[in-house]
Amino acid sequence: MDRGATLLDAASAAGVHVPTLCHLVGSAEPSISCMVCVVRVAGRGPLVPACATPAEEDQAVFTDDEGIRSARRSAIELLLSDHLGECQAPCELACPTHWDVPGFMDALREDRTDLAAQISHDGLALPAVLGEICPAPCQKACRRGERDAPVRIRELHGHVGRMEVATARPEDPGQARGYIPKEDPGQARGYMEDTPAVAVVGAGAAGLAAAGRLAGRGAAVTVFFAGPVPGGSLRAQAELSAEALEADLRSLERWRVQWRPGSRLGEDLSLEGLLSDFAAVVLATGDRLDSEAWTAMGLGIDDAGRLAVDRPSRQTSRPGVFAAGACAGRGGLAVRVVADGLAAAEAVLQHLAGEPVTGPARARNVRYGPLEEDERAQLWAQAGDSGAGPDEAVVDAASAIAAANRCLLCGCEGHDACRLRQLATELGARVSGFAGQRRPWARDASHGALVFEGHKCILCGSCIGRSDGGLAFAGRGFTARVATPYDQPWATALARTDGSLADACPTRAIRRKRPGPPEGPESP
Amino acid sequence: MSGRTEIRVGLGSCCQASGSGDVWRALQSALAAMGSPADLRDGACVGMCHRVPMVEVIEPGGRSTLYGNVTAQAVPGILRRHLKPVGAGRAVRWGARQTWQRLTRDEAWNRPERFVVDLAAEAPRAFLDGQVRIAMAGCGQTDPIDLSEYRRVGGYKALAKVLSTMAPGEVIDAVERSGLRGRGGAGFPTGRKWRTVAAQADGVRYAVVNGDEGDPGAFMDRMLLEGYPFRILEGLTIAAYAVGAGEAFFYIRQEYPLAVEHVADAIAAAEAANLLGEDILGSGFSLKVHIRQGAGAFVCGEETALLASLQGRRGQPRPRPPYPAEQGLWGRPTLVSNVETYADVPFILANGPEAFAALGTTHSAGTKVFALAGKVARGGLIEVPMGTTLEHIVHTIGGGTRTGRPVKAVQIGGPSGGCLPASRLDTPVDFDALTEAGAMMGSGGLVVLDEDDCMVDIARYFLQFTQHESCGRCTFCRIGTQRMLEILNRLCGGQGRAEDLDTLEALAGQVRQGSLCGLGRTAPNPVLSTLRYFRDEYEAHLAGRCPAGCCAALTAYRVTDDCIGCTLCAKVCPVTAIEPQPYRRHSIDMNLCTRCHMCVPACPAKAIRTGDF
Repeated sequence: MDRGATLLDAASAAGVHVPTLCHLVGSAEPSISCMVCVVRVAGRGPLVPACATPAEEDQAVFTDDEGIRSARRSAIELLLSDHLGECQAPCELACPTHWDVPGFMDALREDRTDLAAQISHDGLALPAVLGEICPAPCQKACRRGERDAPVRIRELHGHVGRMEVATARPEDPGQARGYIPKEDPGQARGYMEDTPAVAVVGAGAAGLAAAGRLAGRGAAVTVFFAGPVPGGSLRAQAELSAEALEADLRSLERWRVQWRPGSRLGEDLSLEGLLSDFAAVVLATGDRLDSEAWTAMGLGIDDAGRLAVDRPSRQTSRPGVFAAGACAGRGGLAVRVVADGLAAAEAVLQHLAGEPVTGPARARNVRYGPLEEDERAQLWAQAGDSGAGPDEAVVDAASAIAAANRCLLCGCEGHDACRLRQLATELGARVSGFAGQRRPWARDASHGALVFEGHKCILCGSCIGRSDGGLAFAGRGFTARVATPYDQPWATALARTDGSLADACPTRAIRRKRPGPPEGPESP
Repeated sequence: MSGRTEIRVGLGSCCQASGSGDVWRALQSALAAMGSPADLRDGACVGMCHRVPMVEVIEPGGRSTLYGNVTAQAVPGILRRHLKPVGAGRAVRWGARQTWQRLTRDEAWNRPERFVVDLAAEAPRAFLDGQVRIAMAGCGQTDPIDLSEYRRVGGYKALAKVLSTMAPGEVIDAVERSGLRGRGGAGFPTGRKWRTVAAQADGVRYAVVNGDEGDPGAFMDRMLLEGYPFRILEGLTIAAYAVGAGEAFFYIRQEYPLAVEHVADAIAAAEAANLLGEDILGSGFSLKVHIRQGAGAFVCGEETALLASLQGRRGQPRPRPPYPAEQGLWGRPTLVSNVETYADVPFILANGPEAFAALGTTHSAGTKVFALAGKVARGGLIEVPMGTTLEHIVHTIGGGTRTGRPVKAVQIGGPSGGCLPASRLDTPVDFDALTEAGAMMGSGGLVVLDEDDCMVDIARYFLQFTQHESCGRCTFCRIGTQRMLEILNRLCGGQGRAEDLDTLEALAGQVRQGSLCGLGRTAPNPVLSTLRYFRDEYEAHLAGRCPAGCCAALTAYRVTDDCIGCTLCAKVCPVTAIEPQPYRRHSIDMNLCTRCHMCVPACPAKAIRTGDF
């Protein structure tokens, strides 16, 4: 190693993973703040931060043992306990599919219907259908509902789902890769180029959802179903219009999903045959088949005689055979069945990629929890409020934009890139491991290119060296914080700084300003 | 001795806080009225804080009389015992005034005999006999800023010897052989530190005096800086010569204005006497000394934070290595040592390293200054040989508790230290023995606790201090200590949760392991040591009881049948929770009671009990 190399450099050169949070590659001086990169040097008592400890010849360093892991986990848990953030919007968390509602709204506000369509098809698979039959748990959770009325989320995705927009997979994979979802890190997966063949048996909500997610990621999907037309039990739903179902089916067809009507599993086709022709099979047959039929196919059953399905991974007892929906014990609400189909598709994607099949990984989420009265007041004061009133229906592009403008864009736009969240997930940190007093909610949106949300700051200090004197640590003890000189507004203190300051922030406490409606007053 | 009577009054800031300034002014005006028959001098600190303000009268023959707890009203009486006014006119006026005052005022309380401290008596003997004064040698006998007085007690002999007869390497050898270890807390071998600085590549080097004493209840460094600045300056000059530093800094917190003033005066006097500055004593060695004032952050006592602050940056520690001895102030090799460490150096060079090593234990040589405080009967500043047991310090020197209650524990080492129970008072004062027992030498705070002190509350007090003083840089110290504090607050508030003790212990271990600097790494010590020795008290709090009757939320007050109905308790109660009922048993309304504890000592029948009834 070079002289001056740190233990972190040495570990990375040796291919040993040491997690880091506050350390920025290439920065002149390490922040030495998060203490997530702690390691143990033989012969020295306490743990040392690898980012700032010089590597020496013939030094024995332990980078992983129970004590180190637990210290790292505690460091993250302590940071989480003083990190007042909201990884995902309340609506996103309320919907069983956890689709990217704020991203969808943001796309609509910018009049990018194609992107909005991509987001809703990728996240919901059946946006038009759910736009009619979903009880919309998202809207019950909508923060806007606390003040006047929730954003019309269901109507908006139904509206976009019925539109004939270019949601198809691009013919040339080199072009746009479709929408890479703003989702949990374990789930975010790009477009596959080698188009593996996947069979889906059943064309109800679960089967169609699995087919949509798989096709959207580049699989060649064939859907087998007993009836003459796809839709399964959805067609029995009185409140669902034929137009909506047709619109979603056409969208799936644009993603080159193949229909095989009149194919009854166990009669017209066999599981063995499917497994020889396809890389994976998703069973979404509803409640049609009984334990005898499953046993005949060589599939295990549980004590109650139902198909045995491993809950998180949606795997049956046969490798490569997955199950979703009612046949996997997950019936009921359409949106829950859809979510189950999507989850099975994620497991299939893991299987296809040769990864351990664990099902969709759930990332750690922090939430606001109860806010103080003055914090709520600030939050509302800073919320941009432009657009339609609560009672205006979504009928056309203009009213859709107006409705989307009512969205507060809750959640954290940086949640995919957030190093704190990634590490919390990686290290298995509990979000409320150390709940207690926490920093106040505070947003400064006075700057032309930057928004500072002090409640998300973890005091790593990465921004300070890049702020041209505009930022410094202030205070002591638990109330230490990053502040401008004499607490001037950011517009004044950081007048010479542009949006690139946000790139240094690991938690997006500093972020670039969104285009579109103003985020709070330009100058306080 | 001069032919005149000399009167010495301690004017250190703590003596002044106890009223020695008033005594000084009373002496001044009385002496002026008498025609100045005696010289009045600042006697600095003698360490007997339990007897201040103290006045020492040294008669021309050398006979010395010591008066303790002196009030301004007692001053004329004391002067009358020793002095006569100058000139007949003054004698008549003085005599007439004194007679008039004797007639018009009740002076029975101010008879001078009452204030005499007989050093041969048992209590002063017990206080003084166990002590050996090295850092404080001569302190209390000299005017702090009078160079000639410092020289009278042997000052600057060591420097003269070093500069005229010893090479820097020999000085380092001597300090190394003496076994001196840093007095700031960690106990790093001083000689080895000097050798490291001296071994760095040629170029600019610095020496720094760490005078950023911040432990609650500790005042050793302040006393030395205020009362004995030449001693530190001499030690610093020797150290700078040994390591090759041409420039040195005193880093003193600005809450110590008198220390800053006296050190500045001492520097000026030393420069004027060629004991500092260019070509000291013709040796060719030069040293420039500056004073920098800290803004009062505890963390700046940590050496890397101190250096950052000296350079005008935020006082935040950085990891070591590189150590300041290799890369310190402005990247240069820098010797950083505590005030008391420098004060020990002249003794070593003047009397030889063997004389120093002969004191103390194998691995902890010499003496250590302690600020003895808390419930102890005779508090003050004491200096004892290393190896002295806590038992001896608390019971012999300190005379046990002044409350009469049994000693429960000794908190040693301040917020970085720990609490040792009475059963561990056999622990000797020794860097390694104290660390092994779960406490720490620290900078020398020693607080005696009795059975009325709640150990959970004590741990909470110190943790509150360190949490507030954390620089906020690293996660464990900034948030970890806060979460620990919240658990202690819950316990003291009667809202502990079953899992709290395990969480507290685990988190304390991680804060100790994972913090960046010494502040964070030692912050859990008060908690860990009380958990180790007083776990039953924590468990009692969890069960809703405070055995010491100290935590307000867990303590009730009750009047027993011993009540004589004197109404004194009702008179002192600030919230009228006790209704006065003459000649009848009183009762306390616990809904109004704020647990201020005023009524308990006020009761002549000791009829008010605390507990969890």
